[in-house]
Amino acid sequence: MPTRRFNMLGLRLSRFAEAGTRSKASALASDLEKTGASIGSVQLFSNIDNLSLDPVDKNTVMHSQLLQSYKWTNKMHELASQAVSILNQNTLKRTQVPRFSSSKKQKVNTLAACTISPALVDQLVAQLDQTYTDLSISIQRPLGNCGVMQIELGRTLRALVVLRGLMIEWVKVKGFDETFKTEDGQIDIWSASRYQVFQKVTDNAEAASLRFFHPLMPQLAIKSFIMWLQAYKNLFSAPCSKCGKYLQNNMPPTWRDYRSLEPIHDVCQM
Amino acid sequence: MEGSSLAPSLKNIAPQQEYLLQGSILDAHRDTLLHRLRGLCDNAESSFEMFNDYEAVYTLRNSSTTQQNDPFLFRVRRALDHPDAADHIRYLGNAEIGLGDRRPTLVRACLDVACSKNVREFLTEMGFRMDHDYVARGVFFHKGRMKVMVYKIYKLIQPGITDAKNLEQLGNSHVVELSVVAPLGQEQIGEDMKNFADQLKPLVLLEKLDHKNL
Amino acid sequence: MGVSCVYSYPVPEGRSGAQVVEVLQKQVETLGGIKAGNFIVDCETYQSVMLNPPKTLHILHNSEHPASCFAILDSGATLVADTLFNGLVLYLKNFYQARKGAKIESKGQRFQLSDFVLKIGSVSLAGSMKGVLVEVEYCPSVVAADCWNLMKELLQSLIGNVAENPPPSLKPKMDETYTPAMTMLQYLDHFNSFRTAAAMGQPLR
Repeated sequence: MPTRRFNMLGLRLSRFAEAGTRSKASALASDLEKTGASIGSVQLFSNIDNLSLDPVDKNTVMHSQLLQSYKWTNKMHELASQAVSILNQNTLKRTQVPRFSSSKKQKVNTLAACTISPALVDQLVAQLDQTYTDLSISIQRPLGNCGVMQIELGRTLRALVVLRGLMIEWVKVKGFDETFKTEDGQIDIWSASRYQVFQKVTDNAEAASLRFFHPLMPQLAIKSFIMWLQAYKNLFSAPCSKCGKYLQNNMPPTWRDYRSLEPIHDVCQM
Repeated sequence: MEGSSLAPSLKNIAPQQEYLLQGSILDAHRDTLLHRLRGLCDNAESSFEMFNDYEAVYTLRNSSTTQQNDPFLFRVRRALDHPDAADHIRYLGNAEIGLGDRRPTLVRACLDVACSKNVREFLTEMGFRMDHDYVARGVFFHKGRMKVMVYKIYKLIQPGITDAKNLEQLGNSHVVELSVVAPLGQEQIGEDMKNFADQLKPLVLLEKLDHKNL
Repeated sequence: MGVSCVYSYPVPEGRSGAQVVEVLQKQVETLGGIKAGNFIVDCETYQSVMLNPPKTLHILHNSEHPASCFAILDSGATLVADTLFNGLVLYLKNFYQARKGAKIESKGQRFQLSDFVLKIGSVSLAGSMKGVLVEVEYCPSVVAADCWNLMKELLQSLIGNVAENPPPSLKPKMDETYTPAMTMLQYLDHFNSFRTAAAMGQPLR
């Protein structure tokens, strides 16, 4: 279509040259307008559509990757909003949830323990790893800033501690023959030990992480927690310091006193 | 061993057979063959699957055996590139002669058993002696249940040491093997294999080789 | 997987093995044990043919490890393989032959008691009952030296002074990380002594 219009225009132009009058010029202007209207507006493509039209694209995978990441972000957004609504049901919190709406308040509310730089955390972990010979501690950061500390205590147990800054958020304890890895090699912080003993120790370790919590001296909190955890080295080999027996309800002493670190059966504490 | 002597899940070990075609290709033409195979086999889009195995062959002889008695062979394999993987003992029978020998492939009994790492010491203690060993390094492909291996054999200058310095390549060609391990009596596979082998024909000639005649 | 101790529980004069098993089972249930299926440990013995020096090969299976097969030589050398190893032994028939009437097994009820697994097995050699084996496994631990005292406490409440000391084949390995093969060695020790006792009791055919 447009080409024909241009041809027509060319014809008029030649006539214009012949006549050379003003009235013809105005007729020509209106012709030009008509031509412009018949071409229509250029179709507006978004950038991503232009990319998909690019013939070079056949050789690259850019477009499909973009689509994929778009879907991924959408999904993440959806999951995150679901998570927020679920987490909001719990009103008991040690730390304030950062409110993105009021950025001024945010700084005031966050605890010192949460804002410690990853490098400092790594340093502390390395230091702890060296201090205790029967403990081997390593730290990983599978998702952003939060560190996941994995502790191996002799040949007795494995523990997983999730840190936010230097604050203990989550503790799990498992047997030496169990693993904190999912089948595809990722860290699994959720599953519990298959042994009753370690389920009990997990409960106690969670309690201890709250007990040792210190808002101003987070290093001290971690150190005392690790020291306390280390007392579980003799989980199977030490008798209860109260009743002198190894077993109570077919379980070894699963509690360690916060001060003396002595092994005590759960039942004997009372 | 009677079936009743085992726990329920352990009964009935179906005898397995290996169907085998073998050939070789010069090192210079290996890549052409690999590209052909990549197109023909499953998982064409992923990169080549490599393997690097150490195999030692152990023999057992009676102290009083007469000459005609063949020594008994176990092949013990270890994956050098996957140090955590279990070792394997493999027993291979002699080539079966049957059906007037019209079968398109070599057929022999085959049993693959995964076992713990101390298998070498254990076999020695059972009375086995190591006969020879080598390292096989190459690429493998799958096509349904067919397995294609293209690999190079390396001799060990000193037996038992799989250090790179101790390896010496054998000849200047690669071995090409097409094999299927299947339960007894699935003769159809032989035909499928023959058809597959025909597609590689200008590059490599896969044949039925009886090792006894070598 | 955990540490196991296997003891032979004597059958008193005038009582049958079945009665003893019943008493033991009652006792486990009084302790709080819950029935958790059956178990079987079996052992077949092969004798070398014309090998110098002669060798004995024991092939054991344990329903606790249903996909594995344990091959043990006189020296205690143990190979853990998958169950197809049985097939390999068949191919070895010119070199190793099954000893006739030597098939022995221990089977019975399995109990769960928090993290303990208790097994009361009646031992039968070539079809006739020879005795009772009690196995106690403490699953969370992997070092026998660590949990021996704790296991002893439970064992003694069940079988008394029979469990005064750790099983002899375990004793030198108390500090090692426990493997299922160590359980099989204990069973083999007991099986061998049952066989010897049976051979003494009745003259050789």
